[in-house]
Amino acid sequence: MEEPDYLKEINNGISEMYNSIVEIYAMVLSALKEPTAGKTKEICDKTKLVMEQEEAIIDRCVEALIRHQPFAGDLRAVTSAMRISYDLARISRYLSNIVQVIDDVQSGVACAPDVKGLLESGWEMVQESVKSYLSRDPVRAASVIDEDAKIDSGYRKVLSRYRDYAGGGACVLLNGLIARIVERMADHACYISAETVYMVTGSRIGVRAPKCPPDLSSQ
Amino acid sequence: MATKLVTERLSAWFGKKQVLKDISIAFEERQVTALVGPSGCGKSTFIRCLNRMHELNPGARVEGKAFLDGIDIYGMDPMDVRRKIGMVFQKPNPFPNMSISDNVVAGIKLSGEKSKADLDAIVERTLKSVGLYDEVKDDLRRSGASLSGGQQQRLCIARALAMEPEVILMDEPTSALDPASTSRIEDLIRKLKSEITVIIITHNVGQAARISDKTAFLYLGELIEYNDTKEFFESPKSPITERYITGRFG
Amino acid sequence: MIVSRRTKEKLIIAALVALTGAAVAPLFWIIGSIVWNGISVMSLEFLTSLPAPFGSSGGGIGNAILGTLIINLFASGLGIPLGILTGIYLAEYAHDSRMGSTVRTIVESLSGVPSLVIGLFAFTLIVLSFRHYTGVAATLALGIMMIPLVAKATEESMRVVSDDLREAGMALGIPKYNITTRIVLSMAKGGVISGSLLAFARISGETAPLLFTALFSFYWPTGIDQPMATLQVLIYNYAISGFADWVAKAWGASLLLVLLVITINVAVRYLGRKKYEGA
Repeated sequence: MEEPDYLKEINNGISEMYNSIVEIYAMVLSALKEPTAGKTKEICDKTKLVMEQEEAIIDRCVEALIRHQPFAGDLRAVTSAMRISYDLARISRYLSNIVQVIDDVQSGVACAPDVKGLLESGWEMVQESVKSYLSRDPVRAASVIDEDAKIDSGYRKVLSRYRDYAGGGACVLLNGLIARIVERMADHACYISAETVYMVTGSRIGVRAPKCPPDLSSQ
Repeated sequence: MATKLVTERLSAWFGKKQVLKDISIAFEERQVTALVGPSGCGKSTFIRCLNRMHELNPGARVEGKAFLDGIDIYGMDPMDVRRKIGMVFQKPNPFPNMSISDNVVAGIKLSGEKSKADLDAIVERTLKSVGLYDEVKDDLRRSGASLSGGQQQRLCIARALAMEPEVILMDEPTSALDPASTSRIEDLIRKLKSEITVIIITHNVGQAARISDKTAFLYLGELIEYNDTKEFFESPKSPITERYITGRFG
Repeated sequence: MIVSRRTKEKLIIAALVALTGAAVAPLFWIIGSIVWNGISVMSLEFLTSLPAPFGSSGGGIGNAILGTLIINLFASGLGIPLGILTGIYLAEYAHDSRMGSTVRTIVESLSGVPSLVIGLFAFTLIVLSFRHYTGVAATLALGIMMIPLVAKATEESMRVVSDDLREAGMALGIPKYNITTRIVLSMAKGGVISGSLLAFARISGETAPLLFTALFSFYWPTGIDQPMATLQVLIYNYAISGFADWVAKAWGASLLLVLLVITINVAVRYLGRKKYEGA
């Protein structure tokens, strides 16, 4: 179905936001390789840009609601774009947090081989979720959600490995904090995918709810 | 919520041309149901089958069933049907040779039966319920046609309500009116539904979204989709519905 | 000769004015003659007394005036209701039916039948059966002549009433007979009244049927079943009589008739105009 121009513009906004995040990710990778100071400032500026892009998308969505009073698929596309822009903004914050952690802990990347793999998997999920959104592919989006379990278990593995680590607190902090950040980032990739599914099919997958442990008092 | 009006495979013809195909739909009591769809796809014909006005056209034919509170509409006296199921038209049509108050009670006075009702009380009550009383109370003897378009339409609604119908059918009641009058009548409809069942045809999809509880989509004489309004407008099931309400055609 | 556009325009307008004048001139001439000749005879005696014996002057045409009024009223009593009912039938109940178009054709043909023939019909039916001249036959003939005029006026005025209003009535569950009479006919009443008045004016001028139905009389009308004097027949008889006094009286009667007809036409125009001013 032909998409109206206002939806195309909103899509472009999401696309641009994603491109900014891709650049941020490149900065994260280089910070992992060489933790030089000053990367924080660079990445912070980029993150500010992403926030501005988020505001712009929200603005465009509100204008679309006012001017076009969309229904059905068009309406869902607008509301999804609003939520996804928030998720992308969070993802960019998480990425910049990683660089901040590296800077704060002042430790080399030698400590973080495990977490690097986890980061790459998490980033892969983010890429897939945005691409499936831009291509309106609910099947591809659903497969991203399936990957979340792996990230969760990867995160737990890192925790258990470094809980009793003897090689120094810096490594513990680095790995622990980065693993946590990646886990949250992956969650937001899932949220983006769920929005894609809703936008195309109209049904909601309830991934935003916290995964509560079973209530022990009732056993 | 009980069902008030039900049709079972209702079909209608103008001569050889079939304009309604097997419409089966259940209207909920004391709710507003909107009928939407492109022009000429049978919406007017459908509601005229409900108050048995379609059969007044030469060459018209109806098949299938329609029930009001379980009673077969086509087994009742047609005039009884029309008293229980009132109708308001697109172009306001007050009787120009009658005063405002005579217009309101025209259905009662001219019904062919002697009525003991207190007509003045009915005039005041119905004009108040449509929000017209304060505007016209200083001279109720003015001709019904001397009012503005929006006032005339409210007068026609009052006239229909004076019969105390159980269902009121509205055929694009605001499409000939300005936005302010439209808005007043939409408010009136929202108020009315606490007392009577409303079925409204509108070609304005936004209006359906604003005032209805349930929405039905008719296309080329067939019922394509019928759902709660929020669901209908958020995630319609049929691609034809989707294309229509997003303005891709029609 | 090359004629400019403006000159052509002016020439055409001049021609139209001249031709219209030529068409209207006879009317003024006729009315002028009638007024001129008739006004001298007007007097109270003229209007209220019976004709005087042959040869003597004085007397009047009171019986003819009364006779015309009586016959016209009775004819209206026949023609107007029947005409209205026919008009209602044609407008509301017989739009597209075969019966309806047959009736309409008959009614229209009736208006084309020469009044003399209608008079003959009444003569044969009533005068011959009862074996004397009677006002009843005149009433019948003139009444029949009114029917098509009233029916047409009624039908047309009712047709003009918008279908929206009929639909509104139907949607309220109002029975059709009430919609027809109390909504549609009520809105059409201006046209119906005008049509009836014009029909009345029309029969006031008809003479031929009266000649052998009501015949004539020199006395006050004693009953509708008797022959009666009428203005029309009086004018005919007096005008060709050769008596100067009678000829003068014929002009006077003509003046009365013309006044009646003109008054009715003016009244109809006035009624029609009032309607447009938003009654």
